[in-house]
Amino acid sequence: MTALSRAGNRAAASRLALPLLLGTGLAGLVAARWTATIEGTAGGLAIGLAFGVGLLALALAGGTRIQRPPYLRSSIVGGMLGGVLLIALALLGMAVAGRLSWAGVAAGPSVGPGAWVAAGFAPWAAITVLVATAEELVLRGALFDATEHAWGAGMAVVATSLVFALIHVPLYGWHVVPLDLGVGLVLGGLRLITGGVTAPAAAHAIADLATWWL
Amino acid sequence: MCLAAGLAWVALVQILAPAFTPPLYDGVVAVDAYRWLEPPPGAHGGAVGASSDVPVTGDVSPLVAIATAEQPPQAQVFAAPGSFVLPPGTKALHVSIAPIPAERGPTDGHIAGNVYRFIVTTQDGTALTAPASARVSIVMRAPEGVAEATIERYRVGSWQPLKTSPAGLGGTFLAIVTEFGEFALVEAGPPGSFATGGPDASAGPPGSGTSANPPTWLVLVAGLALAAGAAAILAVTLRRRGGPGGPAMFGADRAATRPGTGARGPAPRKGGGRKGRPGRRR
Repeated sequence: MTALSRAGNRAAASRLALPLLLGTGLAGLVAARWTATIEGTAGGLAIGLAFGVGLLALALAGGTRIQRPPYLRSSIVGGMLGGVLLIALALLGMAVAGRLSWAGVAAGPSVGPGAWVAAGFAPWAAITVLVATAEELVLRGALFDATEHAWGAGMAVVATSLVFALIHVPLYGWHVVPLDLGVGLVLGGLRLITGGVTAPAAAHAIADLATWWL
Repeated sequence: MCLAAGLAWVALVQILAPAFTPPLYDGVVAVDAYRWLEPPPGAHGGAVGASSDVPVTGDVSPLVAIATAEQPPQAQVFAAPGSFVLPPGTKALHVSIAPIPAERGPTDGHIAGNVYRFIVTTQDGTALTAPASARVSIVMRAPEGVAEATIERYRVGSWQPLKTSPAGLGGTFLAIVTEFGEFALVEAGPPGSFATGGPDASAGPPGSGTSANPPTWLVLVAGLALAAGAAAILAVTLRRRGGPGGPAMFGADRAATRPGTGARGPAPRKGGGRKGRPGRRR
């Protein structure tokens, strides 16, 4: 083997290393969360908090660093718009399925109408935002950049969308893969347009928060 | 373009295969352990029902959304306003869900979880029906470890399968109904580690799964170890490369486009502006 081919092999291995390590860490966290959830090891909020903190640690280990983006306000607005669009499409699906009831939506969570504030919305929302943001830091942050560095932006969008869909399978089943692939594309598109994770994080968090009412 | 394609894809999926529960892309999930009416060894008991009297205004049936108290509920019924055919003089609907012992097991599998009796009547006890177009639905959650099941209705001495769809969180299933009565989730094959609440019961501790599955505590520990190990290797690897030069947390450290233009500029990276593939050492 020549020095050139050895260097090429090392380069190829190096390109794979970061995405694989990130994927491995993510798989471990998802498996731990799934297990803790189905076993009832702790409450849902505690498990969500642990999962979010774990994702943050993985993102930091993967090279994500905190700094103010140049277009913070625009990114937030763009992300919010993206989140609203995702919610609108969800409502469209519910309308098609004949399950859209504005009375039910207005009442609050699907169980316990009218009690959403007293029912612990604040801590649930805080942890939901944490988990959504932390996922974006890992997926559309560290993993996106590692993949883009190795194989380009297109592959980065595809790969992160695929991973995003797969990490939801243990809790929700395989039937969510088509939908989450599309959502991954949307969030990846926001990442490409804005150059950072603020917009996808905002969109993701808003879409998650809406489920309190839907 | 990617954004537009993604939105179009999501719209297509929502129209062709609409989710019967909110499309929870992610989120904080609170899942109580399954509550049995007749718990197998090691499982939790205390299955409860739910009931409500819903007033009727005019001659249109109101929204009906009743669920048992678990998180997520083990049994729910949902009917949009106007779903039921109301007899004259209806002033209120009585809706109840109650776990009951199974009289008989199905022939096409075993009951997974509890049998629930769903009742929707007028104030004087007249049973209500709904046309299929009203899409009145019941949702049932299976015990842990049940991935595939069918909602079946017990009628005239036998269990009859209904068209069943996954309903969001894994192990939750939905069926459109036109009448009410006794319903259960039926899983194909003989009973597994979880006993049913009925005559098909076979003992088994919760969480053990079949003998081929590892204990769940092991999966939990292994998952955490895997994540911690990967994070540690990542941190060390990037440190040895002279810093991450990686992505910004909340934005770009790159000459990104102005918002709205859609174009991307070059992407200078921090850490000395070093370009090239990760792993290439100077």
